Amino acid sequence: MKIQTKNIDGVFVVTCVGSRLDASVAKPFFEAIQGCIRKGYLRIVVDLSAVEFVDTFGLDAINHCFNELGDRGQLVLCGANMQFKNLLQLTKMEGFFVLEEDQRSAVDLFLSHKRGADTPSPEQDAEKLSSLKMEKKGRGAMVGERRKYKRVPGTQILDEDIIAFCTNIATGKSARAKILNISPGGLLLLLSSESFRVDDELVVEGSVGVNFKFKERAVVRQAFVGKYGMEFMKPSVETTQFLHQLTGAVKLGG
Amino acid sequence: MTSANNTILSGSSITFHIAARLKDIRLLGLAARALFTGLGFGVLASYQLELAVTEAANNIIKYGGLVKIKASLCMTFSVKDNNFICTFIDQGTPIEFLEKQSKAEKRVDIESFPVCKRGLCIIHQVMDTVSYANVNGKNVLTMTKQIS
Repeated sequence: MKIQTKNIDGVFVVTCVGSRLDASVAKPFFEAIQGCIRKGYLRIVVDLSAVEFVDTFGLDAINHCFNELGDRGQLVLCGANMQFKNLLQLTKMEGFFVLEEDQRSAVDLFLSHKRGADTPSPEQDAEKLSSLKMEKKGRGAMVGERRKYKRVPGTQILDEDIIAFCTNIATGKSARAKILNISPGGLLLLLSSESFRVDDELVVEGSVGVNFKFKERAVVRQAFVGKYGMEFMKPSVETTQFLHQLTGAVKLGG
Repeated sequence: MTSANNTILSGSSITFHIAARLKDIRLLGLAARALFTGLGFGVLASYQLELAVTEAANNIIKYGGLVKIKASLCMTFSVKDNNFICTFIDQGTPIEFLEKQSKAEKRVDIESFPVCKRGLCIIHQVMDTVSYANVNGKNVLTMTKQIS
């Protein structure tokens, strides 16, 4: 599949020119976008408006692009047709990707967040994307504790996506999420953009591998284009021990 | 639910011989879409059926080891008694998932599969019946869908 690329105010827009994103082009498609990511383009819009047909190999390629970005950046899809949305339903992947109507609204999603009156500067923005840093909210000993721990990307733990279920304690609203990375301090999740807000307290439930299951309370510390940084609130001894073993118990800084 | 204006006579069939190349499957997909549209399936139903056919072909080539043995794949579309029938025949390695699902009473949870392997689950979701068996050294995958 041919792609066209352009840079709009620091947002890298990839337009798929071919009509089919299928098994025969999935690998070169992913490699093309992977190349862009490795060049440092971390805010990516993939325009699917010309794509009529996507199969699970094509969908997997998009998923790999998303995983390649990890917590360093964000990928937004636009122009997806009814068939692609149906594929997401059939594969139980609704809510995994941020979908915008068209290229303009996808780019604006990045730019409006950047330009908003009460949003941080670009430098702070970049730091938020790469860190689970909390805003100091006067919570005493819990503040800053998450940053003491080494984080492990979800893609390095299992070959498959690690799924968590989040329930807002106050409203009962729940959503399914993909764990992007995890540490004894907290986790970075991908959900559909409007699921939760900063300071929401949630119950997060999931499993890692065959034997480890967790169910912990967490508070949303940051939210950006579908990605949520969450801090565990007094995690259980079992969860803490497991995550210590997983991350090698490396403490960063003081 | 699908609705169709079937003007194709029961007993009609067409057979495709496909080399074990993923790039050729898109031609099969396009042909399949034309057939489904001609049978009167709506836009979304045609996509789902094209997807099921494409996923079956992709997975047979990829996981059936056809590329290694340089074998080809044979697919027949036929219409019989208000049913559309799609049959794949190959001489590659039997696909374990399809064998198990043909015998299972309960369908697997699609979310337990990585994304790249969910296509096989989609076949079962889209088609009315799916059967898979090894007959005289050949793998036979049969999928049916009621036309109206």
